[in-house]
Amino acid sequence: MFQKYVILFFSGGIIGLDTTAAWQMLISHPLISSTLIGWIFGDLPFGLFFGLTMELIWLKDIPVGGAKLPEGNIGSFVGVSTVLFAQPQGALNQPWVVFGGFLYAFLIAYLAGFTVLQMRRNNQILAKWADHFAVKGSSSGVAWMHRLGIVHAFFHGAIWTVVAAWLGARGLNEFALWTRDWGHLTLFGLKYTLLGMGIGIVGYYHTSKKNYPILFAGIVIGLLIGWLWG
Amino acid sequence: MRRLRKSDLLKIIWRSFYIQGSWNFERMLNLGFVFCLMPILNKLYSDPENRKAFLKRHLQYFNAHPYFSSFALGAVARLEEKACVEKWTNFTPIEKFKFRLSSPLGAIGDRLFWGTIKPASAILGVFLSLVGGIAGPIIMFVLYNIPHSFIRYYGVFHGYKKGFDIVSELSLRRYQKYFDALEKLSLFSVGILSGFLFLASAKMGLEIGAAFFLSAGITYFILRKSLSFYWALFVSIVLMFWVSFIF
Repeated sequence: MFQKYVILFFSGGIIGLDTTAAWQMLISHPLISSTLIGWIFGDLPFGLFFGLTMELIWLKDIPVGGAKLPEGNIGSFVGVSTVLFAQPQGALNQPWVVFGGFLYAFLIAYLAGFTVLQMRRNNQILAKWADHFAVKGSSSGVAWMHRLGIVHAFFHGAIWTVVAAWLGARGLNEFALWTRDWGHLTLFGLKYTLLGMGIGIVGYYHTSKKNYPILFAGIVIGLLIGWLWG
Repeated sequence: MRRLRKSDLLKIIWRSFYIQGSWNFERMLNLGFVFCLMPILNKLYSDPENRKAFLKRHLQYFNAHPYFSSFALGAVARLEEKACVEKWTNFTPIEKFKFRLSSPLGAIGDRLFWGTIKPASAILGVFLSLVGGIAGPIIMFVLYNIPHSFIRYYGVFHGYKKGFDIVSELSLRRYQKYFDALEKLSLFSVGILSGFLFLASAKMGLEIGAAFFLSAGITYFILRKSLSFYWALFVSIVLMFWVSFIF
């Protein structure tokens, strides 16, 4: 178990960096990060399920430095890791736990948004220290202030992931016992309502009235592909 | 006379992947920008006073799209080289140049990557995940990172080649027709995914198709009315319970 938390610590750090601080190669996006961690922890189908369900919802976020957002990438990564820890023997057989994981992902995304703001304020302090190094002509001092900002972003992602997944896994196990007799929840219902929400979000942020004919043409082609696919 | 080599520009490209590492509310990308230019500083200036002046002028405000800032990095590297060779005493043109580049680099980059390429590759990724499993995330990653890496590389070299003249190439209006075409392509892919998902959900049961359709429509309506995103989440959860327990 300790080994799993070490993996989660480093992968959470990478997610924290890729979101805005470094690379920005979409590794931190739910579709990629959830699938990867699902594969690493031995439940690829669940990782893919969680990632594709969450991906469209967080497309509303634009990863510019100043925006105040829910931190969807960290939230989703925590959500998927929590479920994988709580149900290592096939999470897709436990729809209530999956549902709990989604709710937890939204909660963590919201809370992590505040700590990101604090991180930006801390970077302001680093920029001031960099000014002092510049006055002294110390280029290595200035460079190290920037590196500290990167390290800060790494630890922000890593600590959020490990602490929230550890707490969440305990909570989800309790939730699984609690909801045992609540009846059957359909995973397809969960998947398609959240995908519908994602389509609504993408539709709002990426469509304009003048382009509606193109959207409708796409819908017709999509229906046709769906029909041919069987 | 050239003092900078290709290897110096390659070092800038490598460092540009970390340019947003210390983003702050006051001067935004300032520290990241100077961090990327460190190889230039070490190559051009050895005198302590010149080094201090270099650090101070590049710690001023700078903001742009992280990938497109590579154009500014390349162009500033060229100007600093010129200033060093010609022994400039006034560096105000470089400072003004950087400030002037901020807006177009931000506007073009945000629109091209965050507004078009990212949603298009994510939509394709989701679509392929639904029909082909693991291919989805792989193709999303590859498809997005080809233009991303290209812009990082091309931006530094092209900026270095053009120097001050890069300003005339970075006008939003100049790229409008490409943006329009890409936005239409992106929108078309949203349509394809919507149609496909609607049919796929309806095949699972009419109530699931209805939940998908209602969730999409209500979310769109909530966002149009400028209500919180969490209302959309609440409605989707209610719809999910409706599907699970009433039908």
